[in-house]
Amino acid sequence: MLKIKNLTAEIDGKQILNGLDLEIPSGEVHAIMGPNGAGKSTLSYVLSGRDGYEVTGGSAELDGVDLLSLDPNERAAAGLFLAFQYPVEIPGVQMTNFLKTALNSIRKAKGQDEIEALDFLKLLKAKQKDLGVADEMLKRAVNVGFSGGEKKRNEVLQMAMLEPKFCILDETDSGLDIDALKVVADGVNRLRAKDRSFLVITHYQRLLDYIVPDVVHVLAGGKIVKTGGPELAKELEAKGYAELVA
Amino acid sequence: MQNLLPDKIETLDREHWKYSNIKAALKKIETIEATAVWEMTGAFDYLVPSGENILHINVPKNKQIDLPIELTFKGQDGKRYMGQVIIEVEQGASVKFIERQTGAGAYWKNLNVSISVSKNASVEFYRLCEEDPFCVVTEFMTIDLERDSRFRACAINGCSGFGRNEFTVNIDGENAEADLSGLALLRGKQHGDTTVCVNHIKPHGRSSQFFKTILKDQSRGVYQGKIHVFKDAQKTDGYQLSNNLLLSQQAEMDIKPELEIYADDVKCSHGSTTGELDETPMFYLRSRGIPEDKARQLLIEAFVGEVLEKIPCEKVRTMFDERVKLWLK
Repeated sequence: MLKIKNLTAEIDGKQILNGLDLEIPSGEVHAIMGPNGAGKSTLSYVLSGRDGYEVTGGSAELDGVDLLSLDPNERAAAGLFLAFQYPVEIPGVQMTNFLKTALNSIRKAKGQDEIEALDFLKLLKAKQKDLGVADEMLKRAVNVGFSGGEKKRNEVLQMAMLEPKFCILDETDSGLDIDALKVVADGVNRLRAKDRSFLVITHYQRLLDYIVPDVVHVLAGGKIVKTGGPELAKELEAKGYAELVA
Repeated sequence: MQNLLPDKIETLDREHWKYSNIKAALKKIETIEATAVWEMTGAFDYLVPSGENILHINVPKNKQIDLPIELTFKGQDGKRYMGQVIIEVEQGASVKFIERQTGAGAYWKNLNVSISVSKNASVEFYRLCEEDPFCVVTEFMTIDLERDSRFRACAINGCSGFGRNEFTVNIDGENAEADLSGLALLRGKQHGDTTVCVNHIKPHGRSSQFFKTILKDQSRGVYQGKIHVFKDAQKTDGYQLSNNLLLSQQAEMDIKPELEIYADDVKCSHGSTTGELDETPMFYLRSRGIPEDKARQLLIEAFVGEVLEKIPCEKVRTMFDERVKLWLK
């Protein structure tokens, strides 16, 4: 269960989140829609602990753990995962090594032993197959030379490997054609589980045809201004944000 | 050839030594002249008798030597060495060298290395410098390339107290190729200077300079890289890149890239970057659960990996990789 209460945050002294409240119970998929500048990406960076995003008030807890007091890596170990809108290219860091280091770091933080090399490869093979990720992609450096679709599939592969409790999908649909979108959405849907919740951030309703949310929120001016069922997304698509934001 | 004898220091070209104060560095140590002695593996068959302080190697025509010839020089406290290495590689021959510089104490090694690569010959030269943090090392390497010859060098500088590593490459035959790369790893108050000048004298030559520096603490790095294309050297392809990573606020890097081009049909490029580790990849790694220290380590290893990848000889690459990882710890 993710609980955000009266969260305020700023970047370079400019207030972006203005008392945001949000609760996402385990097993549910919530979508956040909103116009440009509403604070959607800020919310994802504030929750994941990026430098430069300063929390000025409120709280955010994941299963009772205060996320805001933790380092980004500790938040990951606590079960948070951010699928980036623009996955970062890291030349010289090979995919398999990256995945193994990430998995073992999280296991270590949880007090578990490192995974055996063979078990790791088996696990990777299985997840890879689910997502249609080619061996060749794993031999490359992280996101280097990946197409837009490959980058987003890679985000979902990491999600599958790290088995987080709460996932933020930050505009996962951006830069994807419809076929790539379906593959990514299928990957996400496969990961839906009772003990895992999702926050899907998007501009467009299109993504929500493939990842069907339980609840839709509208974010404007740094707080939630409306909450409804999946039909709210369709309504927004038809009418635009103007009416709600006004 | 540079003449860096103690009594000639006063006459050094100031502009060329602007960032590296050799006079001040030598004042800090007291040394007496000693004979330069090399330990060698695999060189015996190719030695040419020569005078004191001179190591002379000749690789005969068409000889292919697969195992690298290893040359090791250990410096001793209070000594000053004025050594000379002459390497002649005859037509069609192929050879690899590993030069290892080590030592303990405050000493000064001043080495002049000249390598002549004849027609269609190939030389790989790998330099691993793990000197004492109090010593001074000045090494001047001059490489003369004849037609269709190839020279490749990679220098790993896990540095001395004060180090100047100079390459002068003369592409004096058509279609010759020089590939120079290096990595300087500086910490404490170390000073590491890499100065390169590639002279393209004849046409259709190719040269590449790819040098990186990692600076910790209050260390200071210098990279001066020049591509000089003479009037007749048409169709020259010259490349130069310097990337430097500052791991401390007190570290300093000085870079001077230079292009001097007199021919009108050439391709030359240069670029350099100096900065701290990027925040964006750092955050990406940490958001996947990787702690800050480990994330830094991955990114730094990736940074040095780009230089080590330039070493085709696996034995050398593995050896250098181990030394670099040790330094990074």
